[in-house]
Amino acid sequence: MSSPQLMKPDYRRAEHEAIRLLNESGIFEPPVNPVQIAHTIGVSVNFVNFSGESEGVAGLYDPAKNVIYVNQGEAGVRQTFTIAHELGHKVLHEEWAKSEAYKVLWRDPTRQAKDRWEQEANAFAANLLMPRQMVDSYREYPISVVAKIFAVSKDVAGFRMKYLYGI
Amino acid sequence: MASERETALGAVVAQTPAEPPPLEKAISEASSLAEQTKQLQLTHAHAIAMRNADLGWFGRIFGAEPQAAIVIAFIVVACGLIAAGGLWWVAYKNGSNSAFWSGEAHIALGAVTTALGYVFGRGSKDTPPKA
Repeated sequence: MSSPQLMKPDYRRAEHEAIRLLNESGIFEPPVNPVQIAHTIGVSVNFVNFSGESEGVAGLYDPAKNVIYVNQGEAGVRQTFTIAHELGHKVLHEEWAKSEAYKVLWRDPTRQAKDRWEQEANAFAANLLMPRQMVDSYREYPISVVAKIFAVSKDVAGFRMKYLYGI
Repeated sequence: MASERETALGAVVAQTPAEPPPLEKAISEASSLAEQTKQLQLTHAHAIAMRNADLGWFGRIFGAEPQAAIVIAFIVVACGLIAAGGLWWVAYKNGSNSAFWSGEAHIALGAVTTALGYVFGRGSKDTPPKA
């Protein structure tokens, strides 16, 4: 059997779980508020400041307290993605998230780990905040408008539109 | 050595229980923009439905009133030219009745000329007169 680290990311499962969570939360129209979703599955979200070396942390999940900590200094459209990403770890990788192998989410993308867990959490976040069935109604709009409607950054909206429609 | 999580949790300096303004503001702006966009989409869809209802089946094929006459004239020109060509070909192949088929081709060409006259006559009518 191959090591979990060498396994390919399971994007289909990430999408399936994100859609299931949206349906359970009764959210069918944008914007998706990830704080509301976190509360529906019993996860608290705390907005905090970090000091010292951890100033660059965007967010992290603490499975012991079932809390997601989000950097208060980030823009709102980045906080939505951070919470959705950490929710991905909670939903997809609960056991792994308890281990020492878990990595926090950094504001600087170059510092970020790029293993399968992070890729799956990113896919989960993209599907949670911008699910295809919601984005379909806005595919003709400019990316800047789509980003505002879905409360995500232009980068996230651009990647998502490119992935879904090649634009 | 402490894990990244332990280090970050140890570096937490302030906590607020409620949503901070950045996320709240982003969600609130997104909600109102999504609502406005939905209303625009509904208005647009309604306008298209009304227009289709006004046009009827004839209008859907030939366009709204201002364009319908021109579209029909162009169809007459195209059909007339094809018919004239076809009739001349029949006249060429059918030696005994060639005069008859050639006459029919001239009638088709007459329709083409009339339709063209209408198109260009209307074009000059639509142009405002020079002062």
